[in-house]
Amino acid sequence: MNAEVHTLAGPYALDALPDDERRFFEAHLSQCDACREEVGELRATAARLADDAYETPPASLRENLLSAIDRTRQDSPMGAVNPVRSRDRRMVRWLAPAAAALAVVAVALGALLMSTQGRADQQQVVLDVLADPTARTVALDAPEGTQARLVWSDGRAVFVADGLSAVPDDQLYALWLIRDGQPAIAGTFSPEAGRVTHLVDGEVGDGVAVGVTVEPAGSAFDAPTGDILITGEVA
Amino acid sequence: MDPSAPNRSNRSDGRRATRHLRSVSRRPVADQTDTDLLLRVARGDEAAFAALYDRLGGRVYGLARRVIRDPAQAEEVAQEALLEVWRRAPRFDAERGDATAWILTITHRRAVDRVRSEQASRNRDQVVASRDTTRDVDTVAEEVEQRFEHEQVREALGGLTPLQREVIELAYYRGHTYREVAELLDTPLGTVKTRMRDGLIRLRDALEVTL
Repeated sequence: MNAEVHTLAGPYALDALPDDERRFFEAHLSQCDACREEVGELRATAARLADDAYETPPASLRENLLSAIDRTRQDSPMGAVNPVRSRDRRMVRWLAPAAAALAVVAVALGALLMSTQGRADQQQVVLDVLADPTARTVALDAPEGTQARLVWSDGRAVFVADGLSAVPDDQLYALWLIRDGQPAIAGTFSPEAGRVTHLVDGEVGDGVAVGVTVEPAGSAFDAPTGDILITGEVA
Repeated sequence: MDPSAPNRSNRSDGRRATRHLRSVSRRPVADQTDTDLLLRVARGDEAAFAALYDRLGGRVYGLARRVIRDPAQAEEVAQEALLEVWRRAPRFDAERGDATAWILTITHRRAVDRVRSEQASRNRDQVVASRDTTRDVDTVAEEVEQRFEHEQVREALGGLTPLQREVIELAYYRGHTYREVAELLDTPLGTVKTRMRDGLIRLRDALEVTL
């Protein structure tokens, strides 16, 4: 485990991590006893800071609360199943074998969970692929500073990258699948904060190559015209 | 300690908790710890919840108000947080930390979420073109009740380096992310993360916090 991730215990205990990094760190916590213990203590320490914020609450707070609890059912001690949480747990299990190596995926997945409301079906497929313990991962050749991976299982694949340069509004990144030397468009995307998690449109299996180019937004996407920035072969 | 984690106690823990509960519920409220009270709340004891509120309400509300500032919103968030405490009490696991920290962690998380979603919607609406970059760090506590704990925390904060103290206060009392703190203080991200951690470790030792 790289040493860098442990320093996130401080910001985590202070609720000072952005959502994507918080998810990533929580995945790490599930693997790291030392961090879990430290986080417990640092959280308890942070809670002491509230001693210094004491302020007499308005009387309405007490009244409203006591009448609210009268109307509110308590959770079961065993914990109700929350679909989002069970999904998180699957993600954590999937991250288990190689959390550090796959950090880029976790970060991108966090960003995805935050940003793709309204595309629930697609998102579910992405999560299924990423959460599949038998899924395979290949690191793609990418420019310095960019990390890109393809994760696939059962013919479905997810392209995940971090550190992508921004492109002008009239351009898009295009992802190509190349089979027997014939490229076919497999989706376009614009990275958010350099990150993208993209469900590959098309079947992926052994012997298929992938490539990423930058193309004009309005083009027909019949064949790549830009330089191939990221490339790799599924094997 | 993750407040959202389910209670992992097994059956024998459950029996132990029940015995513990029987013995504590006979003691006067003043002798009961926050954790004792929360274990009673877990069984639907509304009087225990009221007693817990009388003990922690000022810190819960004060914390929400410190982070959010607006009194009406702070009251709303304090109420949501304490209602969450009521709801989730049956899943509280005393083996994994004390009730005070658990409740204040829930409160802080909710207060920070409120501030960030407010900021996100402001950014979306572009009502505010750029982030608030004023640097008026709180000089903590105005009309605060003079409590022993409060003095202890002030003293412990005073034992930090100025940078440790500043990064912790900006994050905890203002609800800033460490990235925002780095920007506000014009300090590298790595330094901010590290100072948050070693500052908290120093506070932990000064306050003798254990689990």
